[in-house]
Amino acid sequence: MSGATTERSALDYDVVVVGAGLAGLVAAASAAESGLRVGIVARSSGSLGLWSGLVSGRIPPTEAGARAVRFFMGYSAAAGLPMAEVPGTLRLVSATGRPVTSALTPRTAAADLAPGSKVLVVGFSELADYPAALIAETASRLAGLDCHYRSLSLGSAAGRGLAPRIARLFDDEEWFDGFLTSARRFLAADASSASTVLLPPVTGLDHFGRNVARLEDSLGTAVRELPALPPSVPGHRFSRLWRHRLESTGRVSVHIGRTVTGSRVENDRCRWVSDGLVRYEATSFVLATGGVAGGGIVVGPDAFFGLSRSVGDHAGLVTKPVEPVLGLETRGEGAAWLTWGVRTDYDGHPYRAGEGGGARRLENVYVAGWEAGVSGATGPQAASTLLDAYRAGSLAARDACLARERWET
Amino acid sequence: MSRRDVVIDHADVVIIGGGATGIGLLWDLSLRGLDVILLEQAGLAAGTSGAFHGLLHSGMRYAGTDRRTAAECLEENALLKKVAGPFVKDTGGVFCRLDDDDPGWERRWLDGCREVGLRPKPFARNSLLSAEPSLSARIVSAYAVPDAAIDGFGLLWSLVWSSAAAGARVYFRARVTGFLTDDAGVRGVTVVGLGGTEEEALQSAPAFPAGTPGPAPEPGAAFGEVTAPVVVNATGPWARETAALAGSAAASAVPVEQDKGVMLVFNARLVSRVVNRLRPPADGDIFVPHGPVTILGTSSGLVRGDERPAATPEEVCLVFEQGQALVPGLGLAAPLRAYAGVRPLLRACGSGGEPGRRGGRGFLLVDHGEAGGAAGLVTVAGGKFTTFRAMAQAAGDLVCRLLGKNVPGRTAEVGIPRLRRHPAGTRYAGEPAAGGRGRTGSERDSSRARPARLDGALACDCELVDLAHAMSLLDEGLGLADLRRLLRVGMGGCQGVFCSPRLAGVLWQAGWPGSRQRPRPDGPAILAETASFEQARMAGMKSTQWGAQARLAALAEAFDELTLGEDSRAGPHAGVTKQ
Ligand SMILES: Cc1cc2nc3c(=O)[nH]c(=O)nc-3n(C[C@H](O)[C@H](O)[C@H](O)COP(=O)(O)OP(=O)(O)OC[C@H]3O[C@@H](n4cnc5c(N)ncnc54)[C@H](O)[C@@H]3O)c2cc1C
Ligand SMILES: Cc1cc2nc3c(=O)[nH]c(=O)nc-3n(C[C@H](O)[C@H](O)[C@H](O)COP(=O)(O)OP(=O)(O)OC[C@H]3O[C@@H](n4cnc5c(N)ncnc54)[C@H](O)[C@@H]3O)c2cc1C
Repeated sequence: MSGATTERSALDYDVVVVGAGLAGLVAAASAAESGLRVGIVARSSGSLGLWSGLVSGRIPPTEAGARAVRFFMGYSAAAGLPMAEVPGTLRLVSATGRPVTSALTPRTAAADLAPGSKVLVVGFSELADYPAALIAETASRLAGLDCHYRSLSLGSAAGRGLAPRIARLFDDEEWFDGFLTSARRFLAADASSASTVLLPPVTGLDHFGRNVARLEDSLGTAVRELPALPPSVPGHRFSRLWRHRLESTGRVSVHIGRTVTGSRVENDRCRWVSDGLVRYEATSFVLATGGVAGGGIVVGPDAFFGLSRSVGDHAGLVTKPVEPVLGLETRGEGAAWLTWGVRTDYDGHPYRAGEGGGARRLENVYVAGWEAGVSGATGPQAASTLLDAYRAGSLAARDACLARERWET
Repeated sequence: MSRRDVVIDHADVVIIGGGATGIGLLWDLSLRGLDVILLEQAGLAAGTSGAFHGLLHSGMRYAGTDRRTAAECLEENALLKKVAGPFVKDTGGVFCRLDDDDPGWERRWLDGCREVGLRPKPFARNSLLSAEPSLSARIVSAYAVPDAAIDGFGLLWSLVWSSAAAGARVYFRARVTGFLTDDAGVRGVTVVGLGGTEEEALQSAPAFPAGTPGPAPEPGAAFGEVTAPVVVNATGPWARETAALAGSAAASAVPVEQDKGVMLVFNARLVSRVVNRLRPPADGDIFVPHGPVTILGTSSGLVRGDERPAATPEEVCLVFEQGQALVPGLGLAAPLRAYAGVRPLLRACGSGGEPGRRGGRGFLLVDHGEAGGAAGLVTVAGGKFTTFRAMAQAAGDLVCRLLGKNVPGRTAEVGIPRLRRHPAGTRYAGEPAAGGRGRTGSERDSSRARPARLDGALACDCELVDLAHAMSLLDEGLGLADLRRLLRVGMGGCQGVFCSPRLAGVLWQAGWPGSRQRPRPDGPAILAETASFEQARMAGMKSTQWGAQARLAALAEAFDELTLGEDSRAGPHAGVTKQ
């Protein structure tokens, strides 16, 4: 089960988080709150580059829900990505103009578009994946908005770019001054009769807050960013700013570009995980590897064929759960891959497929985010990712603190 | 006057079926200077010719079983490498025997090869394994043959456009529902125009059981007649059903059956040449490299023609497991999708040949005037993609004889240039339209402004499809499925998941033209159209969902549901077990 012992060095943390998607970053932040040393080990920044930036779903009206949201909003604001403080669920439209909702929304995206709202959808002709005309058309029909659209050229400096490149341009202050002038000239008339102006979410990787505020001043109307198609600037912002904030505390180390391929388990506890070069040792672990979508669970051909043959009976099915890492039990529905995840107990401890069929619980590992599978009832929404990642991080930290106390006394 | 009486068009020859055989004949007759019309119920190569393996056979696959087909293929293989050079990737091919394959078969195969005029060069085992590192070490002997990969879509489009430049008319979404006859025999066909997308056209018109008239037309579908002194049935695996429209005598002269084959596409160049297994032809024993992907096939099983062929997980599993014998690391390669085609299989007449893959090869050419029944009707069916030109030439000779013209065929000499779009000023009909020649680019409704700059923008990132090019083809009345076959839109790594919303935006902005049968789509309608394009792609992924493909399916579900706000639960990403 453990990888070949080729590691040249070992790093020691209180908590190791595997995965740097939404779940991994939130879990690491929550674990680091109690002053522990946290290591993040991840292959990539996960689904964040595809994420629209909205937190879909509903935050349950419980004490735990409120605590997680408070933490998330506070941390994000401190990281430089403030969330809207509007209570309740916001009505927005998607990158093709269909109605969507969001429970927690970056401040620059926080519009609440009631049917009948007068909205101006602005597109940039250099931005490939932002169909302003279509958004306006579908939003009028499907979300009942009173939509118009305008297309604006960003000038030669933009070239023909994907969103992150154009966002970089917006961070250039001198260029933005010029943009502001032409925006006022070409948009002011239409903007004045609208209650909200919707822009593509490319107003900067760093200075988006300031830029949106300056646009609002200049147009005299509320300006908001719409969720967009990948590659997603809101996701890049989240990944950059949260990682920066995590590292700036001095207690969190982020190891990206590292794929965990081995582990050591003794007495139902994980001792370390390894990427083949480095061992990451810790008292407790959070597994936030994203399930089938994130690459934490690999579906082998045998598993797939076994599944499609035995319709309705998936008992004993072997997908390869983070194999060869921890050999955990998985469960899910048919080939609805988002539902597949690691089986856990109430606290989020996974089970390891044991000899003779007896599954053993891994006492110092917590599973968070899509790695635990997406319930068919709620769908793959970030609201639940957020809540259980916060909880997994705090439980892992609690265990590590207890162990430290035991060790110190 | 009822709409049924409207004569849409008239020519010397009408061809039914827009696969390799029909389009080959269109080209052949155009070169002979005849006035030709082609009617295709769906889109270009929407039948078998768009769901084949892409192998320009050396013929040696049949050397041990069917020497006539082997010889036909070998000859056409050499000829097409010359006249259709731009569409052939001369990868070369190899036949490999594994340690547990019958050595007796190897001898019989070698005899067969020599008999048709080829001496396969032995390929030293070690140099083969170093040239093709993903092949199995269990290979005990191997021989080089002149197999090659062929770009079927590119070839057929170029033939359509070259023929159109010579005056031929091609009607897509035009389904033949019957023959017009008088005392002298067949003098034309009745046509129903199928509206909507190609997917919808195919769904609303599954090939109908023999002897019954076609399904009732949808409201609004256009009826019409196309007349010609000679009608050619080139409907491939459906040739018998089509002939049956002219009566049971005509049908019984066309002993064609439908034999389904399943193929798997892997997102990697697993081999650099065509790799065949040296054993009696069976499942999953050919790998064909096409650019960055490799296609593994195939399987065999008789089916009924009134269902669209689909790859079942069982067939995929079978092909996959067999393929693993030649390429042991197959499980690590990312599967892109699976698809199925139906072979036009000739029942060996008289000789009592059994059906299925071992049945008779070669092709069928019937003069129904002679065979009894319908004078003026010709059926050409069977064969292989590789032999389409030979089939077209033989059918062209027969057509000329029937018309009393003495013009020799020229397809063996005239090179086929690769055209990227149809030459300006040519007539081209996107769909049958009463009293007219269909819509042309210049009639496009341009009330919606084009985006200022299309240059350099991509319609599909995975396949690097130029947006301006894609738009110019849509202007000509082509649909999304045509873009896929022509430009490979949606055929790359993301399989249309991420590019279909982009296409929606582009189509809307560019004012995707409506048509007589289909009003210009509004925003939600365009979204529905691109979603159905994506779903058709996803359907092909359903039976290959492991590894990277399972991951893509999961991401696609999240993307549709969350980013786009679509309800995907009932959609194509729902699991195979929920079908
Ligand atoms: C296309 C898309 C759009 C979305 N849009 C929305 C939206 O509009 N609203 C919303 O609420 N939510 C949205 N989400 C969901 C949300 O963004 C999160 O992706 C989701 O909640 C799951 O996050 P995660 O951290 O569990 O997984 P991921 O983000 O997938 O993270 C998994 C992490 O684990 C790492 N990893 C995996 N295996 C290994 C290994 N062996 N070793 C080391 N590291 C490994 C990966 O590199 C990655 O860092 C969207 C998701 C996607 C995919
Ligand atoms: C799995 C598989 C793999 C193959 N691999 C190879 C290979 O690698 N190399 C090779 O050389 N050959 C291969 N073949 C064989 C080859 O693909 C076929 O022999 C060839 O494509 C047949 O072409 P066709 O034009 O006769 O038929 P089709 O391509 O099927 O064309 C018939 C057309 O007629 C249309 N039609 C039917 N009824 C009507 C109607 N009533 N009105 C209007 N239109 C109608 C259909 O829509 C269809 O487009 C393969 C076949 C299969 C099934």
